[in-house]
Amino acid sequence: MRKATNRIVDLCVADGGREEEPFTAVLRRQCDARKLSCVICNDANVRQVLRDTESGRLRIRMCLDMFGHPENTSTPYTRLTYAAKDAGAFVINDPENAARAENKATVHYEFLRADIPVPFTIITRNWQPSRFRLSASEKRRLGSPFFVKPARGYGKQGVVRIERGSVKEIARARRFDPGDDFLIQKSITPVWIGHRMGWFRALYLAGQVVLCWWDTGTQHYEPVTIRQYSDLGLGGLADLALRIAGVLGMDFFSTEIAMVKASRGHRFVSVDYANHPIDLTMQTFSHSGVPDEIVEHVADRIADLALDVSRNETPAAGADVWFAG
Amino acid sequence: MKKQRTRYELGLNWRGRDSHPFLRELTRAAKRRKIGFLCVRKEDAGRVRRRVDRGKLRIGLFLNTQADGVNMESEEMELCCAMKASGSWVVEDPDDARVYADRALLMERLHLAGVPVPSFVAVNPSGNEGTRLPRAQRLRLMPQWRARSARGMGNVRTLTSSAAYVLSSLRRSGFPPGKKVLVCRRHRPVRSGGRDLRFFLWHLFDRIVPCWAGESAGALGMVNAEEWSERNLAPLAALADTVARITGLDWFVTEAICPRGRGALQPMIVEPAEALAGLGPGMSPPYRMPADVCRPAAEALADAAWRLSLGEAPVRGKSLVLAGR
Repeated sequence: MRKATNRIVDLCVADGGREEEPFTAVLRRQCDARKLSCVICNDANVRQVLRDTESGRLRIRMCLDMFGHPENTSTPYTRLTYAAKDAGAFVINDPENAARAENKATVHYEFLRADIPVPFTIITRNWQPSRFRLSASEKRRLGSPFFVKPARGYGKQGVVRIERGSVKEIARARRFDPGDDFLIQKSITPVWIGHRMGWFRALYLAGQVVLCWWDTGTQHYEPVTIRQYSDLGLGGLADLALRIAGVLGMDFFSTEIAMVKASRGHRFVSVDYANHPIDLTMQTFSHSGVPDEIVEHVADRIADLALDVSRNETPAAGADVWFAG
Repeated sequence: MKKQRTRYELGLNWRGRDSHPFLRELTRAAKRRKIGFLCVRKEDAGRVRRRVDRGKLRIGLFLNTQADGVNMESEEMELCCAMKASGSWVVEDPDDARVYADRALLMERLHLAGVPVPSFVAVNPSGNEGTRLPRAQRLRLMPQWRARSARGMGNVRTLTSSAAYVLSSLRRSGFPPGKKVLVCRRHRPVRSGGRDLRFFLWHLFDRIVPCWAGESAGALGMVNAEEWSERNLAPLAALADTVARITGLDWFVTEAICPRGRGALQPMIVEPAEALAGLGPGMSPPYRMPADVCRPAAEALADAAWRLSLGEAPVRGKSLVLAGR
């Protein structure tokens, strides 16, 4: 009997069926420059790629999950990440680790255990009654206003700002998804550094951190320069992102970190744990997009990782900080 | 008969061992990038130069590890000039060697640009000027000074002393008459967590690699992310970047300390940029490139050569390279 021919793909992107983003085009270009084969999975081809991977007809060396719902195993994109992992591919992010990180309640306790500073938080479970009431001391520690967030939410969906902390307000917020756990979290007030809010988004990609200013009001990114990093004492910011990566075991995510007043100077607090997949819309196309230079760099680095994997080398796990410009 | 290649993306002149970690890493990095790499040995230098002169050989990026800038007519310097004339990107530019191989001139430039440097004087121990420096100069150097030959890179004569008779001390210690010497006030570094805050900062095509340093022991390993954050060493990154901007060098090592007697940690450059970056002839501690810096150095160089071959700028952004936690 004739043996089926095996096809090898250096990089497979589980893109999630959206319209092809400029990021994907940049990634293709970076793969071409390195003479790497690259397959972008969309609704038209994902089932075929999944079947071929499961049957061994296709060997994926590295798989990049841009779909990002690792707990939803009914979709072919998620199944593809698991199939690639089971067939020996290097998957960014490992679906099991990503599934764990998707639950903010789980992550909250992991961060506390790892001494990662987080805002004061109370967790309500989905089986707790809708008349859940905060104690007086909890109300005092939460302050006013505070936030109620679904543990498995993403993209600000289901996040409600609570002014008084009444039973009704909390119950209404929890109705967003009655099957989910919720985080009742103290509101964080960042310091102001000149005209900038001390609020940052750190992108982590396989041992490297890229730091950006993030204005929660205008939803605008701006790269942190090497001069700002040095002069404003932001060394701890990158270190916190590296520690978060260590706890989560994820290779590619973004996290929000606020700089708050402390008894001596300032300190950094992790406010939004880990976001995956990262929306890599370029700033050229959207006001709230990621600066183009950073998107180009992310594609460059992912292609470099795929290059290392294609050479059977373990991607280096350093602790670099990258600055645009 | 094997046809000789006429084009390499990367080349360097090399007199060290084949087993040197930098050469090993560079060979690996060039293979990873799939670029042609030529290592020019002493015995081949003349032949290579003739081929370059006749237009039969072209190297995209050429790293000089031998010409120390003292003798502008040396065979090594002529090879670098021939490479530049043929259109290679020579690191560093041989036409600027009179500037970057002059320690006193670089120190002056850094000082004028506002970079913190120790008090210094450039002297000439010729024997005609008596034995003592003018009082004002002596006061600037006391209580202890360090003298190094002003011209040349790498292993140059060094003297540390507290003698008031600076010129006679230099003559007694064998500093050749008629050759400029850079004499700097010697500062002691702050100790923190049982370590002297003394560093070598490698700047390798916009990758900054900080290493712990001992005054005579040389580099003592890369700084890790935890140490970087806890000791608030972020200002070192901007300092290395500033030295690169002022000197115009892509590839160098500089030495910095956090001197005692200042409030906050304010690093100071105590040794200006050395453009052979610790790879020069017979390089020994303290200025030799340590093994753990060889990999990022080789990757930075191969990446720059690869990008140039694609018609791009040799670097994309800046990065700070730290050891993992």
